[in-house]
Amino acid sequence: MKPNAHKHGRWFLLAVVAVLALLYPVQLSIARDPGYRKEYNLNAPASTIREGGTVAIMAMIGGFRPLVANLLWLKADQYWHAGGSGWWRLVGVLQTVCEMDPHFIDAWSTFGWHCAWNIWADAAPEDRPKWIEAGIQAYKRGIYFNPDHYDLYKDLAWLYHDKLKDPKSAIPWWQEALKRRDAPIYVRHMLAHAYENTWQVDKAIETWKECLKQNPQDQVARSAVDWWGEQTSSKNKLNQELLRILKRENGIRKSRKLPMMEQPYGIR
Amino acid sequence: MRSILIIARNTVSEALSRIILQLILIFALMFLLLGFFFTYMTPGEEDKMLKDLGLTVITVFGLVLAIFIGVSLIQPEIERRTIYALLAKPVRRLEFVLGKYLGAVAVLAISMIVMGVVLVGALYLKQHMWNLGLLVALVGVFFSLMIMTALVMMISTFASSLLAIVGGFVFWAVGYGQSYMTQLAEHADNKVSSTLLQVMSAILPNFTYLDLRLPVVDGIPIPLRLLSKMGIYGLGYSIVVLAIAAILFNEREM
Amino acid sequence: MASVVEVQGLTKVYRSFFGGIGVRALNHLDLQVAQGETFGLVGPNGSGKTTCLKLLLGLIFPTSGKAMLFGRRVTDMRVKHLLGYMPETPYFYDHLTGEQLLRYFAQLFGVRTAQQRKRVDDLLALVGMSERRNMLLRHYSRGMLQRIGLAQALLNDPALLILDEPTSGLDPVGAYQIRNLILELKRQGKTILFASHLLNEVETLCDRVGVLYRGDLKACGTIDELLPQPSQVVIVAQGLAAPALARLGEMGAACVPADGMVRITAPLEQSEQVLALVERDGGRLHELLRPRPTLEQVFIDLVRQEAE
Repeated sequence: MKPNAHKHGRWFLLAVVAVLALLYPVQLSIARDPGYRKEYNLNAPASTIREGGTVAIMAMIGGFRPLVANLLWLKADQYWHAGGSGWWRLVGVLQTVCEMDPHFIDAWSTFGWHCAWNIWADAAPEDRPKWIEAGIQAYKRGIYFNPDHYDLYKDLAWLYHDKLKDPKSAIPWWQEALKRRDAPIYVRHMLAHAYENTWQVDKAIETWKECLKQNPQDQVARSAVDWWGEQTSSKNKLNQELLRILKRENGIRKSRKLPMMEQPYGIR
Repeated sequence: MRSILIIARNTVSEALSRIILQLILIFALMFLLLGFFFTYMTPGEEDKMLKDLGLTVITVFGLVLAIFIGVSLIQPEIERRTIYALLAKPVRRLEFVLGKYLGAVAVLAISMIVMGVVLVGALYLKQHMWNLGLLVALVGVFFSLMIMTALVMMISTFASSLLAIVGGFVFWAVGYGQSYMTQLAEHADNKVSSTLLQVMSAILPNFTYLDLRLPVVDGIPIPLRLLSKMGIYGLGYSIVVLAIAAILFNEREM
Repeated sequence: MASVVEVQGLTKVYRSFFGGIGVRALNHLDLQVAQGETFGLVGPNGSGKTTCLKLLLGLIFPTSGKAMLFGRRVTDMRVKHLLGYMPETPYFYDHLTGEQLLRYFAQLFGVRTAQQRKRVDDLLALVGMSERRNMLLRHYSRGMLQRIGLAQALLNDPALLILDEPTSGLDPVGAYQIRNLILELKRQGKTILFASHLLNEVETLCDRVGVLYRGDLKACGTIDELLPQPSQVVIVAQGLAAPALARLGEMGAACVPADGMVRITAPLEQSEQVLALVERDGGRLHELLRPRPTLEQVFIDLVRQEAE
């Protein structure tokens, strides 16, 4: 007689399926574990299909995700140097790289910058606000995945400050950047400038002094402190009054709001 | 019990002597080092690319190795009839299956270690830094390989070597494509296909849950708790597949 | 004394994957091999010899009937310790040397490491492979593989030896050596069951023989039982004249001229009369034969019978 003949049949199959199903909770617990970063492996960016085509999908299915991300990054470099229509394709490629490797900060940084500055320049005037918004969203999404790096906060602050000429909106982002480790000194300088531009002179001076505390050799800070000290000294009463008025008025003026158009992607 | 170890040892020496496996390993090392001869863009990106490439090469070649080792365990013994003399000895069929698997796993572990050492060494030569954290990703890969070898061995107990190899590649795609399947499930129209997809994702192996390459390269710390869960999944799944293989092999006529 | 090998009603039908009518490789085989006996299983290719052996080794499973070794089921591990099996045209692990293979199997038998070396040395000497012990099995010739095959079957000093075509592919010297080995093992009191299609070999070595044809056991018994006693005598004589031949014809002997001589075939009982006649008539005796039908002949007759 065949050994174990009684183990044949559908009971056996059922037992196997049952045991395999018991491993399902283990799978789920891995997925839900905070140490396991879902964004790396469990999302399929729609942009991959657009940009990479079937080859990319197959590569992803084959577990070549890191390779695809890196190759797309190299492709981005190609498009960059190609110029012209390459710039537009670059958007999709960058977006894909960001989605596939969400902790690759450089990618988010480049993506946001590319949307808000480069494409913005090429786009039709009615489309431009959309691209600004795209840049902002890119930075914000990158921050969502990488809250501990100063980089993207700084980039977003710069976008408000330089592109939108809205130093007031930039201030909170400069502050956030400063809270992170390794924030370079120029971030604090920028914060001080932002205070200056919004006529929050006392805060500006405070910040410049903070700069000096960090680095007593800071020439920029020193000269700024000196200049402002002079401007706000009791000798310059007219200036003081002017400054007070400007600060009050600045507070009333609302910051610019962009029309909320269709966004390339939302924050989950 | 002792027979299992004896058979495992013989399996290791046989696997290491097979030319095709040596070739796969050599190609793996070649590809690993290939990346070091290109310059990329900025130095920061270059490092990241090398690490990504290195870990992916190890993963891919590891899976290829796992498939070819898995196929070489049972079917060749039957085809060459070496198994006749073996089963005439006081060795249970279960001990045979387990011994073969253990030997295969040992060979995979050795390969992983060799490739990992080469990668870390090459990175050290380039960056003058020891990137030992990368080896954590290899632990996850190792669990995937255990599952893959078990699956291929299981198929080879009742089907030809060719079918087992094809099956291996199918499971490879399934294992990494699960995440896309689950996404489909979430967007499914009706409950039936959604549940069906969920059931399938439970039963079929899932390598994405064992894939730590990108986080490791980005320097994200991997808690031990997570590694143990991966170990439970990897071991548990392999044991189930082994049990199926053992039962199938018990019934197999030579 | 209980039989070492006991087979009752053993049937094996190979079915195709989709069911349906299968190939009946063995049909209700009944067989016993007593201890110390050498039993030969003969038959053409496809007669079921190998199937029978595989069933005894637990490599395949019977459709019905049972097979016992040493009074136990064939899958019993204790049986495997008492058993030595030499497969037909053995292939072994390419990457091992002859010595390594024997040590591997010795380990599986549980032979202690200290004794392994001695046992392996002895066996290599026994089969005449001592000089080639460090050669890879990959490079072994057919004959060398057969010898190693026999050596590995003897590792555990088994009480029962099952050999499948032990001398197939060997040159005459090699075959002779293997046969002598088998005789020696027989002298040591081992029970030997072997399958062969070399009938002369079986005749020489076996106590009892079983003839398989298309899954059926057509005949089973000792050589003497199977082979009909020679009932005739052949006398080749020279110098016999025609009258002598006529007289022989009357006696019932057949005379056939051959090469200047006469070949006289007569019933055994009349042999003395024929000899006397030849001498009386001035004939010279050239040859006196008592031809015994060989197993081969018996076998071919049997097959021819079946075909009709």
